[in-house]
Amino acid sequence: MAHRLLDLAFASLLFGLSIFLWFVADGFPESRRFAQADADFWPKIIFGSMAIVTGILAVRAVITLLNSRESVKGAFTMTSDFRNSVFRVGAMGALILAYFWAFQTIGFILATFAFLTLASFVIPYKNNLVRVIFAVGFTVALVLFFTQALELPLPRGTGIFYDLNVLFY
Amino acid sequence: MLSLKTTTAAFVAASVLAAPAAVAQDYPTRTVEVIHSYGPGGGTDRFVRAVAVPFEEIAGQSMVPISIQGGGGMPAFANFQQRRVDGYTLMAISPDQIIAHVLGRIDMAAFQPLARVQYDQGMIVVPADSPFQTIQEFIDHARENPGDLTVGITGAAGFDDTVMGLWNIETGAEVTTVPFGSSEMVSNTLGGQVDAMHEEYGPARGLIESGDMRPLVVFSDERLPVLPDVPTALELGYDVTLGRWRAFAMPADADPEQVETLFGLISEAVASDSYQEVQEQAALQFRSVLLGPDEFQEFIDNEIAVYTQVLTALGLTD
Amino acid sequence: MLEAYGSALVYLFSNPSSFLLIIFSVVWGIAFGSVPGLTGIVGVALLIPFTFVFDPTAGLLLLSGVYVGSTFGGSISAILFNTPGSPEAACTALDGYPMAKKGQAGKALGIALASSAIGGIFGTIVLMLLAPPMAQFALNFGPPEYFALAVLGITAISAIGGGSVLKGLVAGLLGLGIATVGLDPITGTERYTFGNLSLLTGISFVPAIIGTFALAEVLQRAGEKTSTADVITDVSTKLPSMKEFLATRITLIRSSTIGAVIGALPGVGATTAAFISYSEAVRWSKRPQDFGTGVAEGIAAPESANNSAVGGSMIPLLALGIPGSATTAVMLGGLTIHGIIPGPLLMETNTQLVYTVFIGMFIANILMLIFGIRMARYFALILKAPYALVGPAIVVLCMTGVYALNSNIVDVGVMLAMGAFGFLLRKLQYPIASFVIGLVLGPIAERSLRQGLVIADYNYWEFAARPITAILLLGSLASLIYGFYGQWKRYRQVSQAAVQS
Repeated sequence: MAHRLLDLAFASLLFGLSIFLWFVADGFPESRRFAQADADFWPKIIFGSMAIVTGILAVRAVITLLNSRESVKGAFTMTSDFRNSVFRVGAMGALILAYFWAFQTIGFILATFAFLTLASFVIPYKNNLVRVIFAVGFTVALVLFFTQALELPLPRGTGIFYDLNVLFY
Repeated sequence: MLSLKTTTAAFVAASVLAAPAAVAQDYPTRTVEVIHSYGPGGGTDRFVRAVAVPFEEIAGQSMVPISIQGGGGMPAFANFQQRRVDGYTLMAISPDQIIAHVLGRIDMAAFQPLARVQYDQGMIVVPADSPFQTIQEFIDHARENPGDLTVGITGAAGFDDTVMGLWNIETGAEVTTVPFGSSEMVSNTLGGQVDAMHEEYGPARGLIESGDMRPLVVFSDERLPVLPDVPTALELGYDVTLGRWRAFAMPADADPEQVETLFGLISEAVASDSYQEVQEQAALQFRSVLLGPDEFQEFIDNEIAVYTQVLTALGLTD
Repeated sequence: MLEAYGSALVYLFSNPSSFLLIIFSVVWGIAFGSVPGLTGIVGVALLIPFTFVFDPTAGLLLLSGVYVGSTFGGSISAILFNTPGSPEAACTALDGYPMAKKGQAGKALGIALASSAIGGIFGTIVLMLLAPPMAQFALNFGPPEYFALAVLGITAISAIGGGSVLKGLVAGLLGLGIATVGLDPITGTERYTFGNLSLLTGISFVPAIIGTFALAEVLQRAGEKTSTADVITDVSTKLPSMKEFLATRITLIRSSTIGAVIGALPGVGATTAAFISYSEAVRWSKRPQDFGTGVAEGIAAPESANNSAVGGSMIPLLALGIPGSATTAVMLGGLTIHGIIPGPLLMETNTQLVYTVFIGMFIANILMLIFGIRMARYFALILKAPYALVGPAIVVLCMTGVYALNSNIVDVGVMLAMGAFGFLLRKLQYPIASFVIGLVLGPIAERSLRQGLVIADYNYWEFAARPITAILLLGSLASLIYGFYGQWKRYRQVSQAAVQS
């Protein structure tokens, strides 16, 4: 049942968003030279149609919800499986975001090693030694491959980390 | 491999950190990085690499292009500004930076002009079966039917748009520009979908030599020795000489001594046979006069004035 | 012409090292193709400095070998990890990964490889025999034709996904909408950048694709129960049988043809070819609802098309000096450095170069098949590795590859955002295929529609009343109606069955 509510929420969100973006398009600066098919020409077609379709979707979702009102009661109880799953997706997402931040500030090597080690705990796996060996090995291999073989720059981080990473690549 | 690299890198880093004062005597002591906002293998990338080969022989240090693409050149510019001002970060600039400046996206004052190396020239080119034999017929038709003629250009509100905008202003013979990707522009012109295109001599010469396309007018100060029969816009009385150029710039607060040293090295590299050969193969030799920091600054100021005038007339500035 | 092939063969056999060069370039290309973010363009660009060592012919052999290899290479990671190594392979992930997940990784890789080789050889033969007339034919394609082609691909959204048509439409429109971010292709004004200058050139395609496929998949797997997330059970490295493969022959012929024609059009390349032929495979299939669950045609169509497009995109390059794709544009730059002026005269003045490359590409495709068949089994074994290690490694590889591609951290951000968005779409059962088709074809559709309108002076009739445009547009309309009719019929059958029971 929860997914029906989510469905409705997402469709309504898109409905609102497409109307908003339609009006943003309406506010694009006008071009004197191409006024007859201007910058807003195509986006208005796209977001206009999207508003219609998502509108239908939202209405349909409401109707399905009303038709099955009794089952709404159970909508907010979560099974432990589901909770686990949400937790793990959330943890992975948070780790990826942290990695994105560390990637820029502390440089590629440290960030990658830390991420590989930590993220491997999100999905259950027993061998701790393999975890660390793999993290080290994969980081070294990537650094060598990108900076030595391909001579493509990797992020060096900022401040003291910059000076540290300049030593490696 | 890693250990060797590490030790040399550590050594270089240590010497750079230890001796900021002695910089003028022994500069450059490590790789000079040139940021640009175009793809690897593109025109600017090849330009930097062509200069880098003799530069390495002369300076004893290598020069590498760093391609930071996308975002209309903004990420490249941001990266350039974020880096330390230590004389080892350059940026390859072109009319695109002038346009970004005029449109208020970047500030040209962030650059210390170093050396303008290449200066290309555009042309109006028509397919072989075009009814227009001379540029005069082309202008006459456009005068009688304003906006009827379509000219393919590369990119919207960019360099090509500015050149054709200036052409419209100068001649008063209004043509309509149609922005394409560069290869589609050529195929659409060859296929007769548009009446003409704006293109530099180098990329178009294959089609001109085979007789599939005819240049009508060239935007340069003098006629090209390879196209003696094609008039310049200037001799017809229209002051359109804008060309695509490629140049090096340093951060605005760069050490003046480093600017001088680097310009010396670059001018030697540009004068070398190996660079000149690459330049001729790309057909860029006709008016590529090397400009030093001061002349280049003057050139930039003049460009900004012209671009501002045209882009304002096109209604692109606020 | 026979004489030209003769001299080309003489060149190849008097330079036996060129065979080694082809082998090296194919392997290099496959490696570049399979690493997400590192596309064939980067692979070619990085090798250009090395071509100075060789004569121009050997140099071009090297580059075209990389091009051939990289186009296939992307499908390996697409099939094994749902991580398209190159944009051309994005479409292959749609059915390749589900098939691998069913435990038939060997079969999926085998089909991808064999289809790639067949498409590649088809494209090369078209290039050998028909380059000048094909180039002339491609010149008939103006903006209206490009628009009609894009519309044809987009209308397939109505048939794809198997689930709700409305959700398919919304997903497609979302793709089309996201593609409008950035500078307007005609007027140059900023759209939906909301003051963020880093979005000026829009949502870059490669990071967007990697995000929606690879990152979303890692998130998805992280949330699955341990038993399924740990390993894909029963990894079979069994290659497809000849019979299984030949069952896709109609798809192969259709897709290879589409690939060669679209490849020959300047400005649209292998990625578009792959998606349009996938759309067509769905459209002509008797069981369109099965696409996306791991059907052989869903792999054969994009893989044969994108490899056929390689040969196709060499057509305008060699016959007219116009690069048909981003990769050939870089190759053109490489040729210029060698003092060769690309243009219509190239095929006459440099016959040996051109015909040697023809033969070289032919050999490259055959080598790819020989080596690939042996390697495919071992690649499939990667799936036995624990996902606790592989999952994070995929994230790292995607981030690094996307960063290294343009050295642009904004691209990495785009990839992350699209990863989250892709995950959400999948959870809510919006078909990813439709979304990506919108993303790929949206820019082509908008740009060419507006270019065409400018040229036709905003006369819609003049815009549409051209033979190729009209046929393609009417075809899309017919298939759209047919698609809705089919949906309606199925819906009625289902509801009748419900009533009867």
